[in-house]
Amino acid sequence: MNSAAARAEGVTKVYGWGDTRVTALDEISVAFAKGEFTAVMGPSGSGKSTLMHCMAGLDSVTEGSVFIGDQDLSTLSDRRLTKLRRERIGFIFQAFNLVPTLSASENITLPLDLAGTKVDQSWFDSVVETLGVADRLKHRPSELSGGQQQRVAAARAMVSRPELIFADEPSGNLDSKASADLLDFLRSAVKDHAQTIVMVTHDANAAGYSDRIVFLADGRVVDSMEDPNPERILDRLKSLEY
Amino acid sequence: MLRVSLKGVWAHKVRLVLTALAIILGVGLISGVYVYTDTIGKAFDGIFADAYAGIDIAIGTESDFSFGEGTYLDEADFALIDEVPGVEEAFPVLQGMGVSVLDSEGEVLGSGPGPPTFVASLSPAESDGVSGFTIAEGAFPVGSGQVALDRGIADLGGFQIGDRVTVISDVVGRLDLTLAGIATFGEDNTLGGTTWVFFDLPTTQSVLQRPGLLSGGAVQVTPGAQIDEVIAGIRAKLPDHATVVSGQDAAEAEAADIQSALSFFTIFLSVFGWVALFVGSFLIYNTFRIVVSQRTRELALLRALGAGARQIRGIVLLEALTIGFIGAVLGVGFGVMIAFGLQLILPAAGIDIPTTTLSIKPRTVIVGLAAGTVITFVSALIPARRASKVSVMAALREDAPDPARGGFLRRALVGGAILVLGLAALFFGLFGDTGSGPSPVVYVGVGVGVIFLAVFALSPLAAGPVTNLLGTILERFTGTSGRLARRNAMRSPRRTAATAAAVTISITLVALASTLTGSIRGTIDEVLADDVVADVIVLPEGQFGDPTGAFAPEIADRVRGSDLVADITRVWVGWAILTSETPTTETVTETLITGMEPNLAEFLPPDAFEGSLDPGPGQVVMEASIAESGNLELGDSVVIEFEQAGEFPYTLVGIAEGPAWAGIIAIPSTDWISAAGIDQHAQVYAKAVEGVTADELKAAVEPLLADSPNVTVQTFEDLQSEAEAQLNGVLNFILALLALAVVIGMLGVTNTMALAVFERTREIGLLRAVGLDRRTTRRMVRAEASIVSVFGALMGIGLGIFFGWALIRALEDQGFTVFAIPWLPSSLSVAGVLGSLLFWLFATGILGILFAVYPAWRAARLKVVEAISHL
Ligand SMILES: Nc1ncnc2c1ncn2[C@@H]1O[C@H](COP(=O)(O)OP(=O)(O)O)[C@@H](O)[C@H]1O
Ligand SMILES: [Mg+2]
Repeated sequence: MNSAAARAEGVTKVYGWGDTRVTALDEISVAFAKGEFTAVMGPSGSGKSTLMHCMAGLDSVTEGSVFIGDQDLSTLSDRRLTKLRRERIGFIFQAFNLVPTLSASENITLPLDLAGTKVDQSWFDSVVETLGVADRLKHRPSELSGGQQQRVAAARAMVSRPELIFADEPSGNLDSKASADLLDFLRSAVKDHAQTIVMVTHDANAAGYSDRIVFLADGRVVDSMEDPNPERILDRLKSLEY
Repeated sequence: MLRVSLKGVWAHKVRLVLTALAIILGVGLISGVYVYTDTIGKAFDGIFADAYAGIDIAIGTESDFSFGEGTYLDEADFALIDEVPGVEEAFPVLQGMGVSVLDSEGEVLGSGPGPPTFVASLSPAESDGVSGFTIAEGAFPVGSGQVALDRGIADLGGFQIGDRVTVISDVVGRLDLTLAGIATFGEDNTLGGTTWVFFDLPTTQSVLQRPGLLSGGAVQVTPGAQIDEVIAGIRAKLPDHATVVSGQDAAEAEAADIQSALSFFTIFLSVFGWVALFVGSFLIYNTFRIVVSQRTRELALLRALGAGARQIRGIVLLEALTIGFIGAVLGVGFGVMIAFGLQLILPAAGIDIPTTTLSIKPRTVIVGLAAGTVITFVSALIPARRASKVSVMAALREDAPDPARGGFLRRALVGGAILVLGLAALFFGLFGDTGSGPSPVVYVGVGVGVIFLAVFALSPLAAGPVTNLLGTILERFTGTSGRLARRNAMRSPRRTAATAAAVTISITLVALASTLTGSIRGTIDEVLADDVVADVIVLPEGQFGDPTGAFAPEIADRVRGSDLVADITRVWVGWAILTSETPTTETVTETLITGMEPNLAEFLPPDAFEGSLDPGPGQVVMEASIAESGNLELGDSVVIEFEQAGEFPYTLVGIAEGPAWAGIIAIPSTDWISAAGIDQHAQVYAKAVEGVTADELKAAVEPLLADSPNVTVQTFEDLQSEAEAQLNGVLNFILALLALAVVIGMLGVTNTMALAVFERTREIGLLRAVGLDRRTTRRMVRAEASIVSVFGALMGIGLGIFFGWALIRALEDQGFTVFAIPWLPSSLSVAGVLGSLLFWLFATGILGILFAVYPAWRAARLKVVEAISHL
């Protein structure tokens, strides 16, 4: 891979002032390669979610720059940033991924509808088919199980063919079967469609689906690992006193 | 517990402000009206106390008539007073109305709505203060060529002593006079903004055409005389219809008359304040409902920690009481400011109402505080009950579901049953025979209230489908934001319905006012367009204000003098009391009675008639619905009582049908003149000769009446547009008063949207994350507000049309024959547009957007990251 899909350069993120001041990210520099499935791991409070939010343009950084492709996010107005998010980035959160008033299929096409772009029907069909939610499209989120909800969220992240998908502990609330289904899908998206995915997780099994792992601690990158498997990950976590 | 409540109040300041605002506005209007009318009342108390200060005993007359000119005493009877022991001197007074003073341009001075003009006798024989007025400059008027004016009108006209002054009398016409004196009322230029024209007694009698008659007078007793004994002595000398009271009693009675006239205004104006509070109660109810459901987890936690159901209820109610009380206190303060503002503004606008220092009675404060506090408290009762039913389990569950909703069918059945009851009460009140039970107004009022309740019970059922439909239309134009708005509006039909309800009440009243004006306009158009064949009509200026306004007979003679006039008919109008007796019923009504000439029916052709429309002496004709309501048939006899002449038997010889005759009861003009004792016309109709248009006739007649600015010459088109202008004036006035209720209804929308945005923080964050930009976020919130408002307006317009229809049908007898739904503007004037129902439908849509600007701004300003991590 010649260039990064997204990178952070010397990013610092500080919350609060005075006594309540917290440095969530501390001059972090990291790059996520195109077509790669990267997992971000680290202890609770290490800044994983913050990194995710800053990289995705959901939050501003205190210092440093974030690039999506060659685009420096700090130069963008809120409108351009919103446009960039809906056209180039997909999201899967840990929970509350879906708009309760919209049906599953309306939730999936939401970014496209907001952008005013036409839905590519065959791509839509194949995504919902692969994720096994084709027969749930007319349902409201409240009528779906947790696993189904997360798969609908994954379908939404995929359907606009974004350059990059950010997932913040997407399987955190799921049982092991549902979790495996979702991760299998993400894995195959990377393999079959060269999708770039960045996923936060604290679960060694989940991280095992990735191509590369970045370890965070106290807002800094402390280590990384190529082609991981669960045993090596657990060893490494132990050595990081996790 | 108090701490929890107060913290709850303080933690949500927007909610606090909006809820309190609804109370402040409503209470402010009510207490403002009280303070202002009390202040005017107090001013008049002072004025009358001054007026009667120098009078020991006041002589007056009483009358069976509520609207008449009053009765008179003979000079000869009055002279007997001098013989009564203890009477030092008795001063006769004649007072009346029906004159106007012209300015140097020949126009009526100080015309237009406002305090009236009086004519009264004033003579040097009177010592200071007998009528309250004294000559401050110049001399008392003597003889038929001299006049005195109050200083207010003299200053307005720029008159100096010795100037020529022209006065027009409704009875004797134009009088060219010399200004002999300028009178003042104590320290004041005049009495409460009224205009006074003074002559000596004989001249006053001839101007009013009441020779040898008096209105009453004033008596001074010899020092040491017992007033009660003197009163009894005078009483014995005078006829029964004379009144003899002490000056002090007379002052109090006059002040009480003014107070009761004012109390009509107090009630009329404060009704709008109560309506505003009623609308506000929906806002409050809905706010507490939403807040309770948002705080389910917090309340459940309190329950888990050991708070009892009663304590939870107490927390919510205490919060309501606090907000209600704060709002009520500020509202009373606001009311005082309103009254103060009116005192400043009205005189500046030329409306001269006497005032004094603001009168803030305990009643005003008590009613204001109680109204605000009680209404907030009552509105929070149901939400508080719901709060107390929150289960402890709700604290432990992630997503507390909306408590189960009542079944569709149950709601439909209960709502339907209430509706039937309300309709029954309404129709019974309007069309039924209420007999000796409560008055029809009570049935109508209860019916309207119950119908409102039924509609609000049923409206959640309609909220889903209707907002869906409105949203679908909106979605066409706005795409995704419209769809999201539509779904949001549909997600809680009860909340949407309750929010819309506040809009509904105010729009119902607006639509009712519009429908009534539209229908009255239709009736007027029908009468003027089809049924009158005259080309022009001569009327007193301001005929619409005073149905018995009149002018001297010379006017008709001059109109007849035009070559272009083919024929005229003259109309006399005055008050009479009509008694019609059948074996079973007796109907007594004070009504207008018309004096007519034989050719009246040529000018006002009836659609159909029975008998003859040319009554002879002792014969009366009337319109069909009047005859019907008195159970009268041709040949029946009625008794007509005239204020001056007393009772006379009449026979019904003609019954006319059709709008041109609406409200007319007519006797021959000769009967009318002899009964009234004066000859003055209320209207003169004229037909043009062949080939001359109405406008040409008007142009020919106007110069003949150029020196009589107290009359106007109008074509029927003029009349129509004048009627239109009058109607629009009334509509504008009512709409101005309803504006407050509309604003409070819309504030309810603001409040619901603000709470909804807070509740949906996470969801909005999610939408923002997946690509909803700020502008579209704002649009989504505003669109939802608009949908909810239009839903409310639709229900309001429906109810308004229905109530309007029922009312017009009930008033059909009174000549309101047309029912019209004013969907479109009647004209491109402000009032024309404001009277149109479609305008209000669009306007509420726009208002919804405007009143959601703040919540929409809040929604768009949410930080995405904070929103998605919010719970
Ligand atoms: N909105 C915020 N305000 C203040 N501190 C925050 C905020 N969000 C996160 N933090 C702090 O920043 C640090 C990193 O948080 P986060 O990125 O959520 O960690 P992780 O996702 O790795 O558990 C934590 O110490 C957290 O308390
Ligand atoms: Mg996290």
